[in-house]
Amino acid sequence: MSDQRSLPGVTTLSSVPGMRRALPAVGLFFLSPVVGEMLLGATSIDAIGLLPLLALLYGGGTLLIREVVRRTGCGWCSVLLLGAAYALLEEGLLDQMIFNAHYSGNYDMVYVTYVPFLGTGVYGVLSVLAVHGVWSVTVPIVLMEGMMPDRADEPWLGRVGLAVTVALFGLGIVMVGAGTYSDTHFMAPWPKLARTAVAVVLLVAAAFRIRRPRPGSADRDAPRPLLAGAAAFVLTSVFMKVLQPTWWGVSAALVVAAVALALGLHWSRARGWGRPTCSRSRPGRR
Amino acid sequence: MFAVAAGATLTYVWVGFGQTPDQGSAGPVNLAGHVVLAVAAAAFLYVAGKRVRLGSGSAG
Repeated sequence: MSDQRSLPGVTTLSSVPGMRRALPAVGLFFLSPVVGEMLLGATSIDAIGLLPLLALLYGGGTLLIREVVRRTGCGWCSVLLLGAAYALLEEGLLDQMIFNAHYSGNYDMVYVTYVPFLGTGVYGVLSVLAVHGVWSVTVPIVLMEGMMPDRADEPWLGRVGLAVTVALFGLGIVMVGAGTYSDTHFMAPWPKLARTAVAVVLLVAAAFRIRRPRPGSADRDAPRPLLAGAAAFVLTSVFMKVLQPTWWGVSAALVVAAVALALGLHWSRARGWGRPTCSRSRPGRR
Repeated sequence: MFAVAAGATLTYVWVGFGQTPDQGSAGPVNLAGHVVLAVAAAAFLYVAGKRVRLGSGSAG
């Protein structure tokens, strides 16, 4: 960042050019599991030693998603779709939580609101899509880009960094998949896994096909940041509150999610919407 | 967009206080951890929010 200064003669991480360039990427790598696991309350503070392991999958996946989206010029809808693909990869194919009723003593995501075609409950699917698609992937990306506004539009990784991220994400996939199987000895039936894999592929394909909303295409002004933030807080809070393992809970949560998506699309076409740094940021390498 | 993410982050702050962790211990340690995380999240949003406002006055 241009406004950061190092004391004369003092070498800090951010004063080394390569490290300085990689700082937002490293930050996002760890911010993703901090938000997705620790802030959610799924991992307690005394298990913080697991953070590097969690970051392999959460951070590697999120960083990869951001990098691909920024390099291809895709928008936030693509981030959400890739986040949903990540959710199904992690919870459907790797730890298979949405298919294993005994995964946790705290909840059963399989037999409540069960739908035969899905092979699991809508409650479980909706829960993982929301927590990972929104909070594990999209929110950390936006927050870290907010912390680095001058570099919000550009890729954060060079070729080596990209290769390292792919390797770390691959390692995370192997460790979570093999580690969970070693703990649970559970393997979902292959038709369920095959359908999940198809869903992952379709979500990834949709992410690269979906058109990016054009800010300013609608003849109206974007809401003030305070209003946008308050609406996001209220809608996501209501979503989390009403999402219960019952058909009523799932139905209410789907309605709230639909309202939130419609409002987001409505705002994203307004004048002045978008990454708040668009007025002064440099174009990315695409 | 930042404002929307900030709102969603604050939702996780209160949701986290009601969760039973799958990993690590529950009880006072978990509660203290959440207090620390809540303060850290607020500080992060404050600093990033200031940087975003310096970048532009636009919404989101």
